[in-house]
Amino acid sequence: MTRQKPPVIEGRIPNTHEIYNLDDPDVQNRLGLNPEVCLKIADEYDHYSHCKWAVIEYKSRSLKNSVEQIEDTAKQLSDAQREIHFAIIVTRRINRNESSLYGKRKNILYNKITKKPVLVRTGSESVVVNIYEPNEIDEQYEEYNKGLGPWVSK
Amino acid sequence: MGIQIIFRPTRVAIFNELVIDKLKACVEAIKFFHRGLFFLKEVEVWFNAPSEALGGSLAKVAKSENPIEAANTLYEYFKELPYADIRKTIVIFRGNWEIDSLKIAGYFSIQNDSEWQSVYGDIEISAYAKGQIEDVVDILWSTSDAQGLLRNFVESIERGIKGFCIALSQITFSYGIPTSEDPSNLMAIYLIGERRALLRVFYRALRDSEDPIVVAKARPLDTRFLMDILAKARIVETRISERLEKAMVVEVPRKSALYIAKDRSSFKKLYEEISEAILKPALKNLPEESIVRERIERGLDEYHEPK
Repeated sequence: MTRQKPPVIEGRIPNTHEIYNLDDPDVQNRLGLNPEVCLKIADEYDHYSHCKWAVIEYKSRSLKNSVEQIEDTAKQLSDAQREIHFAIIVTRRINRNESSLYGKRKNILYNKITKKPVLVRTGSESVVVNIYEPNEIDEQYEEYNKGLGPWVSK
Repeated sequence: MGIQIIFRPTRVAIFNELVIDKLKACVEAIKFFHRGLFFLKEVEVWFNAPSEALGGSLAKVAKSENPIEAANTLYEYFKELPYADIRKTIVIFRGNWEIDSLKIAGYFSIQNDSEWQSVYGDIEISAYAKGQIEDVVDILWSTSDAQGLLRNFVESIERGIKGFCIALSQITFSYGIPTSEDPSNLMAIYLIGERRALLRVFYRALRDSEDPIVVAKARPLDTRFLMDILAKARIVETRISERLEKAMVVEVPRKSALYIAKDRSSFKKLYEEISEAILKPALKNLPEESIVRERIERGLDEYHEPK
């Protein structure tokens, strides 16, 4: 299964050597996470070139599960004193059934029942969950590669 | 998502009785996989949503490796809970799916809240995506006899809930959430009403596919009327049999029917084949919505008040 690219955030992409695959128990250990309690975990923890960190879930086929994976991972990382500035789900469009519970406004996932953005806790603070479709990320990379992106990320 | 179970009522029952029967049915489902593929760790009760991020609040957690013991704890808890609170609950039995050396977190959940029930079914059985495992169906299909496993699972649930105020209506095994407009993510489906129910699933998908020709012809048509005709036509019976074989979907006829895909594209192929060979030809000669509307209006215009 090929993993998607992480989104471009604030004109930046992660440094390739700082994309941490959270499925890997060695990586979990290095980040100070306990693999025994890290079974419900997101796919990546990425360090962007402007020193911001993102938790990303790519694979899940259910938005509910993706949110839970992001939420659990954010908790584990916060407990390990790791920073989280962005929580991101990369998925194809919200399917018709789940669209009665979730919506997307300017790449922010929101809960249609509470009419509020979906937030995950990162220690004492919270971050909103952003949602991107793979084709949106492809478009971001086209723009990024055309323009200023490459030199600012190095 | 993985597995979604939907029940139908067998008799009039109060909501609390329904909740307890759903709980017992979920325990039957857990028992089937317990200590073979699924290892229970704890049970949680949530109000309004199944996580804080989604607006829920955790009301109870009980560690337990025994599904019956966990259910008894819940039973005692629900006895004390007012009706208005019970109907907002979502129960989650958490644990790990284990196959070979692979361990994946997963759960069995019961949606008592109507908004969550309408999306995730009465009972949802799932695994959190990890590595090459996208969903719980990957685990089931990687066992040596997935067909036998599914058959036995359905039989064990049917047997386990006999005499309850609920009975099985539908079980879907799918990648992600099953949706009416796209049956291509299905890996198996259990339906009551045999082939007529299978045709209804595909007809609904075709109608929801937003193909303008199909929509124009299907909108004035009563689905039950169409299904009655198709279910009785011998040519439909023959075409379904041929298409099941071609798409590599196994039919396990019982009082109801269980359809099991041999590979990931089977249901996509079956949907396309049945649409082309049965559903689209059945709609082909019907008048479009605009013609039906025009004839209704003409009929109204032609009427003259009696003098």
